Amino acid sequence: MQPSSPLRILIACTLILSAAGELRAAGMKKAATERIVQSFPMEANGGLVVANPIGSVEVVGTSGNSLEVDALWTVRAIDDKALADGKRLSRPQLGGTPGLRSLRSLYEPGRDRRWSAAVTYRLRVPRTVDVEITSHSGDSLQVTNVSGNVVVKNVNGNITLSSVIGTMRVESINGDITVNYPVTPTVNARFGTVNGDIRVVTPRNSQLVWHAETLNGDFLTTLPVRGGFQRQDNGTVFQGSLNGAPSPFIVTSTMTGRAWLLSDTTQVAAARSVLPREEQPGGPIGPTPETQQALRRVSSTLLVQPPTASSFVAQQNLFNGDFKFATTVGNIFVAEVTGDADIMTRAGEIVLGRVLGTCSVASMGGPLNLGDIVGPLTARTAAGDIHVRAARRGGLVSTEGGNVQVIVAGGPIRLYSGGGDIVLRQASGPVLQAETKSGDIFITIDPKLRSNPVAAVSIGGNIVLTIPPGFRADLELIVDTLGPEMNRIHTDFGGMSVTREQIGPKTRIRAVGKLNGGGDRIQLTVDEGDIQIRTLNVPSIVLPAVN
Amino acid sequence: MPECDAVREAMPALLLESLESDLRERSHLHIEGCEECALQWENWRLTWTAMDSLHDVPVPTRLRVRFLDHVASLTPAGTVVPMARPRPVVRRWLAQAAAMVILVGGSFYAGHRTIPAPVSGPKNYVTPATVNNVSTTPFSIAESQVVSASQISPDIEGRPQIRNVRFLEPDGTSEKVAIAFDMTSHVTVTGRPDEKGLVRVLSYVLQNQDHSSLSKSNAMAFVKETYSGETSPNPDLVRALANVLKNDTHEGARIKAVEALRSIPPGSASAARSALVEALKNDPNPAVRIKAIDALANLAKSGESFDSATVDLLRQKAGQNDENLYVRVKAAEALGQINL
Repeated sequence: MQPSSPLRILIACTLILSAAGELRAAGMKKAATERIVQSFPMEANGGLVVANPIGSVEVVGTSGNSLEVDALWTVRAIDDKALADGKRLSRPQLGGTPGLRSLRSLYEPGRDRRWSAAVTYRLRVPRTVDVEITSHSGDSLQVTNVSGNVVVKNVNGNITLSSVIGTMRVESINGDITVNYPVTPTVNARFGTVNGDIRVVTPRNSQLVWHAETLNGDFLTTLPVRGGFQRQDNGTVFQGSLNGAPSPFIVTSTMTGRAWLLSDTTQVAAARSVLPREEQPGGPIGPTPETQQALRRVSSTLLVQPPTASSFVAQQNLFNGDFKFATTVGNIFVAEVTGDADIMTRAGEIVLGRVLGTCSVASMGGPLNLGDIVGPLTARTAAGDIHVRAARRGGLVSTEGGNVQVIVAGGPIRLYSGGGDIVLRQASGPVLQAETKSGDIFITIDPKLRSNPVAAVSIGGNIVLTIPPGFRADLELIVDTLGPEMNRIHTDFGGMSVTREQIGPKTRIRAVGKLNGGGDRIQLTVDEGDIQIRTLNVPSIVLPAVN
Repeated sequence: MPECDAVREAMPALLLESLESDLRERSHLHIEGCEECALQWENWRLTWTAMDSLHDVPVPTRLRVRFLDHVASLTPAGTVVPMARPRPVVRRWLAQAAAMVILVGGSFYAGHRTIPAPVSGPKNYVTPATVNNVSTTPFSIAESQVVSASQISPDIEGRPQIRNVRFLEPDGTSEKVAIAFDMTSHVTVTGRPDEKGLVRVLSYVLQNQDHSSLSKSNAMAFVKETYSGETSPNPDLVRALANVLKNDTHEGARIKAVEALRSIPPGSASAARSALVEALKNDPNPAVRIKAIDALANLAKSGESFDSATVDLLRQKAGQNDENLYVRVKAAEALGQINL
């Protein structure tokens, strides 16, 4: 890039070596800073592209016809060698034509953790140019007083747009977005962030349509927006009109954060949610000290494995009576329910220590982690593992994808996985059905039982049934397979009658027999897998008495 | 040219020197006088020599079984026992041709597999039946081996199951006979968790599609317990787990693989990271996707930086309307951990 006029070129380079205490980054004892001040001619209808992975960017529109660059390039490093590497492998590059100016902070291959480099840009541009800024991480990205179109993208760091008249499209992942309209908006704009908040400030007399989307956030306003919300499978959508306008559309989309539409004369604190009270998310909070204590106790004594969640929208240590709770998105923890439990979340983990009554838990996505369930259990999730320490009266445990693990089933039980293994460590009641669409099934019969019905089906997996010595059963074992020599039935007892039958391309190996004179029916079926029945005297799992 | 046909049909047996002497003599005489058969014979010999240079990679059991089943189905089975001795040459030719096809097909198949041969080592060696015996040659885990009788330990320990015993007659040129059999023996490999031999066996079990997935499940549980918390896990092992996660049709196995990868800090293992990204992008099982996100979030939490493609994928997952809501929430959480 050639400067427009030598007279307007000012390049000042200052090399500063700072003491360790002055540096933010721990361990980065060396630093070098270079300031670059340059001016370039720029067309009024031109464009500016800034790609600055690390560092802040400030763009201000002016009435001039040039791009004024004031860039501060800082390299921090652990020692002199790393500092030299950092200076060699990173640099700002200023280029382009008067029609399209480009400022890029370049990082050559070989970047490592011994050094870091950031560039802070302060830019003055003709007010009417289009601006595009992409960044990964920086304190802030600001665009002010620009009437052209503006596109801003980043991962971390806040984005502020003030007095931007043109079309705006802003995308962030973890940053907050703030937009200040000096006059009523006239063109569509879209602001999206995954985890940040969005604040749009506009004159009270503005005419616009606010279309807001969120997964687990809220919509708040201080303006008289008239509209309605819709709960959808994929979150909540609100659309409302301000001052009866049919357009333009201001779209805000935040996954977990909140979106505000504010009047320029009111405070943020005055904003109210446009959602009905029952739809307003409580917001996940970290466990209180009491909950932490209860979590530790429940994890060590009741749960099969520790919960994965670390924050909860509902946390109860002891709930006397029936506990009923439903939420859109969020994890739930209750250490003990003395009555029935009826819990639903559309996305989240449910953690229950002990339920004395009937237990019904459902998640449309998320693991279920249950301890001692005294009453009948119904546990369903659309995605995720299910762990149950004890289903004393049996029930239904079902996931559309994930592993199912039940340590003790004291009553008739049905187990289902749309894809994953099923493990039942002690079947003290009938196994009415254990079925997986792709996985192995392991069932161990309570050693105290002399007979117990079992029905299990695995597609593409194996079934291993462990029975106690002297166990009586009427056995029917079926293997459907394309490779009859590969998939087999293994038993450590004889007397089975085996037949082979060709069914289409597959061979059906069927073994029937009476074990120890016969007993309850055991039917195991696998498709492309093995069946193994082993006789083993495993120690019985004894559940503590419930008071 | 019926004689040419007969000679060409006999070439595999001729190559193996298992043709009866008069027939062998006649075949060689014909080859010397027939240009086309000489060319054919030269091709056979070149192929045979080239096969010597190939690594001795076992033919997968499934392939072998299918082939033998196919061969068996071509042989008419009857209940009448023939009074006359069947022509041994034809039967032998068939077996030898089968052996050739297995060897060639197996080598071709193995050569095209992306995974390395499970165990490399010399072709012929002693395989002691107990770990107490100390052998100077490396112990081989191979599907088939040829061992000289002089290398067999005089003691047979325990009661190994020996099946499918066949005796190969002397061919007239040497006094040597051969006994071939299938043997089932139990092997215990001891060593440090990071020892190469142990890791190779584990990697083989993890990736072997032909073995019962119960072995694979056990191996993955072992890997998860033994290697979790290791700061620099063996790359072979990480690669094996990544392969299971990418390629295994058994969803339970894939869930275990992603759990194991989550518990092992992959560090700079790009194979693990790309497998996690691939699983998040394409795995039909939501539990696998959830665990893949968890693993990626753990990486982000530990300070690993993500490339822009991974960040974009997480962003896309967070906003993907047809994705499970929990996966979207987890993707948003993972993005919240990103520290560039």
